[in-house]
Amino acid sequence: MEITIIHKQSDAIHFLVEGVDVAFANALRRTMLTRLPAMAIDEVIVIENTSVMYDEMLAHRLGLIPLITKLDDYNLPQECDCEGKGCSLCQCTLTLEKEAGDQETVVYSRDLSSQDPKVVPASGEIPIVKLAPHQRLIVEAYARLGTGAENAKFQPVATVAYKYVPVVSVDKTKCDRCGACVEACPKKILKLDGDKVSTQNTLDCSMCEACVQECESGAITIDSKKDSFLFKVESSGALPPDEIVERAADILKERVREALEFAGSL
Amino acid sequence: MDIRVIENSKYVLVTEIRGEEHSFCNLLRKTLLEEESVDFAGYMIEHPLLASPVFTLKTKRRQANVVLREGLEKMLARTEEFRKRFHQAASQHETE
Repeated sequence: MEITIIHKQSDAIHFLVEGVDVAFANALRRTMLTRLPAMAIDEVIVIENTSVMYDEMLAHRLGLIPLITKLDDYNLPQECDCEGKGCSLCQCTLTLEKEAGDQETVVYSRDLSSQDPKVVPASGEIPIVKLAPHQRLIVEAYARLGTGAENAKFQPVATVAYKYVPVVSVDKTKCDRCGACVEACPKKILKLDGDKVSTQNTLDCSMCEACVQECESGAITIDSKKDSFLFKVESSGALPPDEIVERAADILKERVREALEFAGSL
Repeated sequence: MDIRVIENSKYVLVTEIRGEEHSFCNLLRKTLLEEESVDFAGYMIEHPLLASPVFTLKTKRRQANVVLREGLEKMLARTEEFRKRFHQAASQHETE
C-alpha cells in the first residue's frame, strides 16, 4: 500500500492510494460520509421572532450551518453519561440576538455566540435571515454531535469521491501526428511535442475519451489501473480534511475489531 | 455492531450483522473471497431501510469460523496500514 498526497489545503485534500481494492476505497468513503460525527445545531428555542421567516424554517437553516468540531471534547449523546438528556459533555449552547434598527439588516452566522469558544460556525459569512426595520430575533440553539447516517447536516464532509487512476497511452506506430486529439482534450493532457504526441498531468484526465473519438488512426487508448484510487475529500469546515480521513480509518478499524471479537467467540 | 448467529456449522456460517450495511459487508465479502478455501461469501439486505444484512460464508476443507477470523484479521491489518501510511504522508506534506 502506497499513499501519496497530491494537494493539501486547509479545507480539502487530494491523495492517491495504490494497492487497495474497490471495496476498501468504498468502505472508507462511506465511513467518512455516514459514520464520522460532527457538531450541528439540533434543537432551537425561539424566544422571539418577528421576522418574515417561520420558526421551523429558521431552525432548519441554523441546523445546516457547519460548526467547528472538537471530537475529543464532546460525546455522542447516546454514549454520554447523561443518557442523551443533554449535558455540557454532549451539548453546546449557542445564542443569537439581533434587532434591526432603522435600516434592514442581514443576520449572519457570525452573529451566533457560543458558550464554547471552540465550537463556532466554520464560516461567519452564511446569511440566516434578513430583518426589516425594527424586526427582532432572539433564539437559543443547542448543538450536539451526530452522524451523517442520522441526518446529512452532521456530515463533516462536502465531497468525498474517488476515481480510478487514468492511463493514457499513445501508440507511436499508429499515430499520424495530426494533432486533433490535442485540440479535443478539455483537460490539456495531450500535447504535440515536436514530432510525437506526449502526455502530461495524466491524473487530471476525466476519461471522457474525446481524444479517442477524434483519433482516426485509433492510436490512443484510455485505460485505468484497477488497484489505485484518487481520493478527493472536501471538508465542510467542521474538521480538517486530514483528520477526517484518519478518524474514518479509526472508525472502520474499530468496527472490524468488534467483528473480530465476535468471530473469536465462535 | 451486534452480530447474531443464524446458522453455525463446520463449513457454513450465517450471521445477521445489525447496525452495518454495504461498507463493512462488501469489504468483508471481498476480503474473504481472496481466500482459496472460501466456496461462497455474500450478504443480502432484505430491505434497505428495515433489515440488517445477513452474511453467508461457505467454505471447503477449512472451518468457516477460522476463515472468517483470518479474513477479519486481514481487514484489520490493512486498515491499520492505511491509517499509518496516511498519517505519515499527510504530516510530511505542507498545507498549501
